[in-house]
Amino acid sequence: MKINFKLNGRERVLDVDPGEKANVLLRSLGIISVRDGCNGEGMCGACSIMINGKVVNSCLLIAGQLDGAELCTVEYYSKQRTLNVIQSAMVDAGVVQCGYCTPAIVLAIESLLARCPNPGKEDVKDALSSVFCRCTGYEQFFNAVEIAVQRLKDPNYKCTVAPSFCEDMRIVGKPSPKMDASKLLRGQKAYVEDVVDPHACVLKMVRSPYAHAYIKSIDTTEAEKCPGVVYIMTHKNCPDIYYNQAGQGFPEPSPYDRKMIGEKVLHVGDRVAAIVAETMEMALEAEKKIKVEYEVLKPVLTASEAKAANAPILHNSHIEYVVGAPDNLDEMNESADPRDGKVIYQFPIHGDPHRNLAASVHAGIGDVEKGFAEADEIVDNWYATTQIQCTPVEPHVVYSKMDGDRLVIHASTQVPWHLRRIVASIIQTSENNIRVIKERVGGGFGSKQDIVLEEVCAYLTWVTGRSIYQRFTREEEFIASRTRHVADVRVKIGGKKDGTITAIYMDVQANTGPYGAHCLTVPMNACSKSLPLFDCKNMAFNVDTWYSNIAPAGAYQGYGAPKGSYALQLAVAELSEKLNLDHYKVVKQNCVREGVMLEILKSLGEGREGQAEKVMSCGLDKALERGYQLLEWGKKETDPDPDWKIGKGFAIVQQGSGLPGLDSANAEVRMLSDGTFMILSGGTDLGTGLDTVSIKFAAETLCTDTNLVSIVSGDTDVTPFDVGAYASSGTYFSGGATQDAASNMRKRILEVASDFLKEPKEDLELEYPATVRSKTHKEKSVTYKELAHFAETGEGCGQLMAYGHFICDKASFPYGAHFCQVKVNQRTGEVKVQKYFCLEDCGTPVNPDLAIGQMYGGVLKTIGHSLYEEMVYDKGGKCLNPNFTDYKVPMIGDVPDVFVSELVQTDDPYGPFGAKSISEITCNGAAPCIAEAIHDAVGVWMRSWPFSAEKVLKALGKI
Amino acid sequence: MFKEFYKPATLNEAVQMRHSIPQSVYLAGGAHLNSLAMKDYDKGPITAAISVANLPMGGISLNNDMYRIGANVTVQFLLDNQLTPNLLKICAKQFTNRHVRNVATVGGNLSLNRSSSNLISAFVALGALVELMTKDGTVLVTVEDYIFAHDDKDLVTAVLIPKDRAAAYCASRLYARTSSDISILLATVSFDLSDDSQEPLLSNVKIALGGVAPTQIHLGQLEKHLEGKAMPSREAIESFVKPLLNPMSDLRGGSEFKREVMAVLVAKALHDALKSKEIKIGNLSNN
Repeated sequence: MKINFKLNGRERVLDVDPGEKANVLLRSLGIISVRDGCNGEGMCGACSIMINGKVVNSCLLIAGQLDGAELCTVEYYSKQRTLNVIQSAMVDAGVVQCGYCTPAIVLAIESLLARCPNPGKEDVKDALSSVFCRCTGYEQFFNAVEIAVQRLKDPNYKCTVAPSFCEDMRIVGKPSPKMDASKLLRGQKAYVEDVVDPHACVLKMVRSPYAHAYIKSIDTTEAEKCPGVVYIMTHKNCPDIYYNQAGQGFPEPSPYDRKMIGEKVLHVGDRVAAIVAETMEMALEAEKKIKVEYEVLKPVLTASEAKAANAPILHNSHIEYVVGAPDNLDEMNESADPRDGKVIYQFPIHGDPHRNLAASVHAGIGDVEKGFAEADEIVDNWYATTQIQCTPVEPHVVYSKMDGDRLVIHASTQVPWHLRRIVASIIQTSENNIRVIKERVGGGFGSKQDIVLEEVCAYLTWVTGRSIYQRFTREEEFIASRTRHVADVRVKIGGKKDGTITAIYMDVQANTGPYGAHCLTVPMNACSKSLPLFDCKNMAFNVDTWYSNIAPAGAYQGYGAPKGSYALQLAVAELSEKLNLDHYKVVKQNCVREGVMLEILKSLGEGREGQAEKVMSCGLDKALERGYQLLEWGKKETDPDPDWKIGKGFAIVQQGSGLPGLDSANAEVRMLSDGTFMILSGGTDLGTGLDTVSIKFAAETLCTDTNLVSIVSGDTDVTPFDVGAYASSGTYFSGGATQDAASNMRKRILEVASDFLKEPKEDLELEYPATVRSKTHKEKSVTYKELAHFAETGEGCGQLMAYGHFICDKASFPYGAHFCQVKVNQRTGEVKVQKYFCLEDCGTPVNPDLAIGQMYGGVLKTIGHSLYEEMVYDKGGKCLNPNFTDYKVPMIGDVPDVFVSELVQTDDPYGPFGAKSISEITCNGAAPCIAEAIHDAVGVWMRSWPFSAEKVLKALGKI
Repeated sequence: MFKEFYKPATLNEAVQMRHSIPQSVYLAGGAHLNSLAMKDYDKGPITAAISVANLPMGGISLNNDMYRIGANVTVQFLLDNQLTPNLLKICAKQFTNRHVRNVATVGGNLSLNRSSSNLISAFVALGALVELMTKDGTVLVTVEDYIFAHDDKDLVTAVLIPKDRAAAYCASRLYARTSSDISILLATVSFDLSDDSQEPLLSNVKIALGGVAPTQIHLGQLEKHLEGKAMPSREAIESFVKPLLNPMSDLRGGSEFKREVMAVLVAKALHDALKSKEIKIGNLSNN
């Protein structure tokens, strides 16, 4: 069919397949700002275009409908590398994080301001109602629109979008543009999908329809004959290499319990066959011709089912230990079924796969029984949580190709170096043969810490020599990537009438799904980021993690802490009620403070022995006091509609800043020929602004401007090793490495300047801008540009380069307090979050605007988890809602009416420039403070999340 | 999905195409037909799209005491147009996804015949008539008859709403999990009030329910019960409604929950409607 249309001002005449999706057609025309986060469901808005002046989802249009239309995409506004008013307003508002939805937001605001030059808040909500952003929490979009409105009236309009910190510093602590914001706003090439060669093959994974089954037979003969089919891998020709997909530091505290494709499938969506074909249509045709016969087994869906006597065993495997094998290992292995393969533990994490137990740990300090005996009141409850999905708007995606004899992997990953190591072990080659290039990541939130598709794609490229592209569908994202572990948490807590907490016991029964990625560390984090919040002498915990046949669990922002926080914080609220004391006073009385020695940390090492540590920075008191004031804690509110009751709640939170003693990061700073700098950082910016943090650290240290510092990061060929972006390590570890490299560059500059100026280096100092000056002879100075030229001449010392490394065995915990006000409809069970105040201490806020954006994003995500997000299964283990129509995520219309994120500054002695982490901690407060607020409103304790309307009505005894 | 794409210029041509081309379907905005949800299309494979975009089915007008709303009118146009009856605006606003409002049309929405349809809910409550182009010419049917049974080959060309119904007391209440959710439960009501007694009496009561049956239903028993009476208390309405409902359980809620909440929504909508003449939904913007 021939169609005529105007695209960004240019007439186009095309011969098209009339049913081709408009978003696909536009991308084939080079319009790459049109993205796809929901496979044409029309629920994410990432594919937004303007057609005849209206913004629509291009995934809901087909080519035939474009005939005669006038289309506009963000490319139209991005001519000559400029930013228009709206784009620049978005930079200044700090709303660009991963950037995947950013072009869609630009168009939506363009359209809004064209029809409504002075929009109110409801107009903005309506304009952006169709765009799903998992990063930002939407709140700063209101600022962006306001800036744009003002700037359209006055181009010189200046605004303050976030407070500044650190008066003694020029750059750190000040809002500043994110280094990749302009590129993402212009919709330029940035992500894996933008670098795929046009004739690359595709990888189609054939997935199991059963939750638990043996593959009795599989026949690919006919499929292999299909035109365009390059290779098919099944369990029969899959290398016999065991590994774990968890992108953790080696040796991992996760069992090696899978091959790429096994003879036994362990969840609906598990791998059965990988088809490499020249087009997706060819792969789908081949898929129809693969004959599979299954021996279907009874599935195990919950921890209770997994631990039951006579429960079906998922891994009746041959168990091996690299170190620390139990004495009875041979005896244990007598009953192993060869079809179940192996489970290899790198070291003991106290699992017993033959009982479905993936890992366990228990420990404590003091004497909890004595503590409970001393208590006047005891609360002892179970708090249940369900399975939630990370839902990055960009799904998991990878592109692998050969470069000569070397394998190149373009990845959307949080862990380039772990990815290289795991792929090297699977394809049995050395790491020098592999290059991983981390492209911009369209949201990760933990799910891209795990290697869930890259290794198969890479292996098949290595085998076939073909370039291969694989991209998860949204359904695959739910059933085959990563989710947060389901966990039921028991909290027993005792307190005296004076408010003293005498003992705390936590028991976490977690469900890791079919494979043991993060099976020890995620559930353990429920305790390790909850118990240290209280200065209590008697504390103990138990963690058991069970295998099951639900979708795989793994890392998700917060990493188990939100579940423990929900349980323990709510239990403290319940205890306060039982003691007839104000919850706020009980928390203030018992919470951790600067100078407190955290003895419990001795019990909380991640697969190794921990150590007690003193709290060196803690903004908890300030956060609590500010939240108390903002929410007007204790003041009773009423709604004009008697159906609705209003209540208030709060919680205190903490997280870590990387993994002390385990993580390490490296960076290099090079002075370029004109005295500017290039950072080579191992850090992995997944949209959070880590590259900007690194640039700011370097510019601050080197007395220059941020626009004179550039960065290359996350490329294993070019940049030095870094464990990756997880465990809230980015600013602390990766940023710390850049700061160290910059400090060493500073020393190097002084050395060379000393030679140049013939002055002792002790008498020299760096001076802004980009100059070395003598302290004693002020007229003697040299610019970096002169110094660079001097160094690079035939008689010079060579290019100035400096290396930095960051390790730390000290725990720098960020702290915070969350306060909220909800209203509950006692007739329908609906819960609305009216006000939410998030107060966080991240030490020195390096990028205040971006830090605040992460706070909003983390909070809104977890409001969603608390109220409606939940993966639902049928009895056979099939997920019933693997899409955005049925699995609801928060949109801008779900933002609380009053939504405030504030930073509470402290100065941490260990972090770079006093910084601690910010992102994950924000996920730990919503569930407990909303649950307490519901209780305050209608008198029921919600001990099972999500707090759906149906559960609330049940709790109220209405149904 | 579509291999062929047709753009008829007249209504007759469109209907003839629909009858003569096997596996064809009328394509309006495409908000549903082009979406992922179509992989579950339950009427067999479809390969030919008959675009209705160029057909003369646009605009909103008021003639002979009837509002005429063209089938190609988008949900956003409904919201933006001053002629649109207030209840229809309220229900159009319940589509919280502006991108979808920009393409979804009145005709397309009616043809889908979803139980969660906000527009159908309004049309039932407003006693609307559906104008169809059939192979035998134009026919008018009540919206309830259309919902109950219709021939997919008939083309919805317009919806007609009696002016007096548009002036009735009206309200709509829904339950959804989030701002972007479908209306899991939906109650839309309209009625007249007599002003010749001390306590105003209800008449012409229409109650449309979504989410409790495979399609929208109207709650005839309650409508009859309320006719000529003063508005009962919410509790009395809820008690009356609950036994009339037997919704299916699904992942969005159990049967008991849906019954309980729907009863609350019906009672709330009826009581809200008493105040509706003071409430006008404003446009968010000019366009």
